[in-house]
Amino acid sequence: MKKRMLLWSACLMLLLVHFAFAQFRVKGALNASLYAWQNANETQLWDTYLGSHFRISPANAPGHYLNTYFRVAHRGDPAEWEERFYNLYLNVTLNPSYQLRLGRQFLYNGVLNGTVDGLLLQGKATRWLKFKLLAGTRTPWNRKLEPTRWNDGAVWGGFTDLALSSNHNLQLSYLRQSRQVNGTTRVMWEQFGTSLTGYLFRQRLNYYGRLDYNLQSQNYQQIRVRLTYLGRKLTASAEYNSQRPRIWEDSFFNIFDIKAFNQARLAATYRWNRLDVGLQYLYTRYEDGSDNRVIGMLGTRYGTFGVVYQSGIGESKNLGLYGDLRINLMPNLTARFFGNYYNFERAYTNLSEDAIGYSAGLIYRYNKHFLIRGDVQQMTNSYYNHDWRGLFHLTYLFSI
Amino acid sequence: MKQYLKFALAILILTLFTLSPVFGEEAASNELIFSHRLHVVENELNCATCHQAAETSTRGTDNLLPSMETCGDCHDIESENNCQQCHRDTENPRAVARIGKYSPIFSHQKHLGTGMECNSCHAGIENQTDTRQYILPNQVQCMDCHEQKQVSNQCQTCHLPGEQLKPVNHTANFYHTHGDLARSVQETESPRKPCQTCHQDNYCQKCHEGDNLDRMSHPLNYEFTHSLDAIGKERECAACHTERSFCIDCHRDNLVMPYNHTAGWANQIPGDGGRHRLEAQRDLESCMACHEQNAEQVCQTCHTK
Repeated sequence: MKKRMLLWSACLMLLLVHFAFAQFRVKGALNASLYAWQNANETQLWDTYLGSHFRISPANAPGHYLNTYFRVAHRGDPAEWEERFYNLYLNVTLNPSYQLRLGRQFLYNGVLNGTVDGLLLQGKATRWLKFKLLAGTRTPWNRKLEPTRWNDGAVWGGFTDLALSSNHNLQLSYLRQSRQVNGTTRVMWEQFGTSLTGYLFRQRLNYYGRLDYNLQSQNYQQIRVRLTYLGRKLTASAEYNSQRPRIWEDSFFNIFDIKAFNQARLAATYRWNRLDVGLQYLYTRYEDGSDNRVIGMLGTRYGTFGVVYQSGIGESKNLGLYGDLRINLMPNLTARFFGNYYNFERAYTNLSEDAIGYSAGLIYRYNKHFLIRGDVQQMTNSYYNHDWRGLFHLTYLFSI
Repeated sequence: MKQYLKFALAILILTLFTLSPVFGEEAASNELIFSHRLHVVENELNCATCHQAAETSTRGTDNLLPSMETCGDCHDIESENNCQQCHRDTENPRAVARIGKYSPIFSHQKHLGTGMECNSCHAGIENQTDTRQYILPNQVQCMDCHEQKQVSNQCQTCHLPGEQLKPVNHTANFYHTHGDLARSVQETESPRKPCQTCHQDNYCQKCHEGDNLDRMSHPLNYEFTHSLDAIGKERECAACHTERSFCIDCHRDNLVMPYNHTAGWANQIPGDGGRHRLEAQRDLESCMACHEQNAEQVCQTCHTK
């Protein structure tokens, strides 16, 4: 694995040097992280992460580019090297309205959700109609470079966005995932999604409605309706959500009658000078019971403080406090503090537990290219009395 | 289920028909009668004829709209008989509404000095036949142009120190709502800004697929408190943790059994299902998290396909 690592690093360096001298522009960042911690056997572990994301484009054609984000890590007990390619795609701008994207890419449009290895055509057919067409395979869950074979996870789908007017949009999407089992195509996941969103009253009021329909179970997967008021000082939203659990097509659990949970959420934030005061209430209704959750939050430019209170399921009661603070000690030196405390009572057992976590750290911007960050973390919970950890980050931002 | 679908479609269609004609376009009326097409295309006037101050303007707060005196250079504004030529409401004539908010440090002089033309940012204004809609470049267009011309895209290039840059919708509830916004706004063309205005592709993946080193997805100690979010449906675990073995690997390695798996869990009296029946109805995903791999052995003892 070390050889592989060295090979990757050498290739990357050669590539960067080559592009520096050629008529190409390269923009991105390199990250190195070291995370030191102790496991339950009091063995000291050192996890190392090396990552990079960058975009390379010809100097005279910024519409064509190669984009990538990957990392290698040496972690675990016993520690092993592992690499993850989050994205690696080539983007070709065919003309101002159409783009072709080939490779590993992250999608998030309607029911097209997740990372896919494949070909994406996106375009603007008219002023009012945009679309995406996708064909490929589902990316392996461990993000290894080798793609899934077509027979093991073919994915195709589409997404359209129809602008009904300058402030109202209707979106339709479709996703199908299949694989070959004993020579026959078996559909693993097939969903159709529709959503309607827009702004009313000079963009003060936002509405959002969404229906995801599971074509396999012949039932809806999710229905969500939300109304949000966006005032200069006050923002408030009300939401209703009904959602069924995601059960894989070949899961034994499909034999059960799969119930949806129904949730109502109310949230409001008031901006008072430089202080944000927020309050949320969640009511979740299950087949045989309900859950209540209240979240309060105070936020300033220096940080936030919040309280979470939950009661309901199994007559349990949970209280959580959290806060973070960010103080600029000098123009290029920032101190960061974070802390949380949770007390929770487990359903049926009447066991009350405390969990405390906090961290203190410094961020130093050496110049516009280098960023150094260090954190000391400490956690206490039912498993560890004192769990000390250290995190060190080094980031190099470049633009050649 | 067909009933659900029909109901949802009916609501959707009804909403479309109800909202589109009423709220489709902002009902922003303007009292002034003015056509850029008549002046620029048909009479071939230069922009500077009316907007003289633009060439030397160094601040975004400068008023660059022509005054009535400027109109008077060509039109007879003295005669009361000519009022209706430009004003719909001659009893209460008003000027065009000023552009209220624009970056105070924006300089027309600097941009025009680089060889840019009015059309570079205000393309299409020459065909406007009324004054209802301003054609101003949005943030995305500014950033695209800066990117192409290798001009700094740092926030402070256009924004003042201390300016509130966080969008108004990034509130306490945004952790929950941002997914819907990303799904829908990403591809729409409107004054709303897509996520990519400030965030790059990998920003999503750092949280949704990353190693959580920065504690952006989950706070410290989340290993011990995650069940509260999972069972209370505060967050959707399956949005990111799609691999089947994610839960069981950790639970099995650390011998973590749910505390509720005690006497009476499977059956209070034979055949009644015990407490697990209720828990499964609430949250089948939690059962699946650990029992997916051995469901046939564990569940099929009582449940059959």
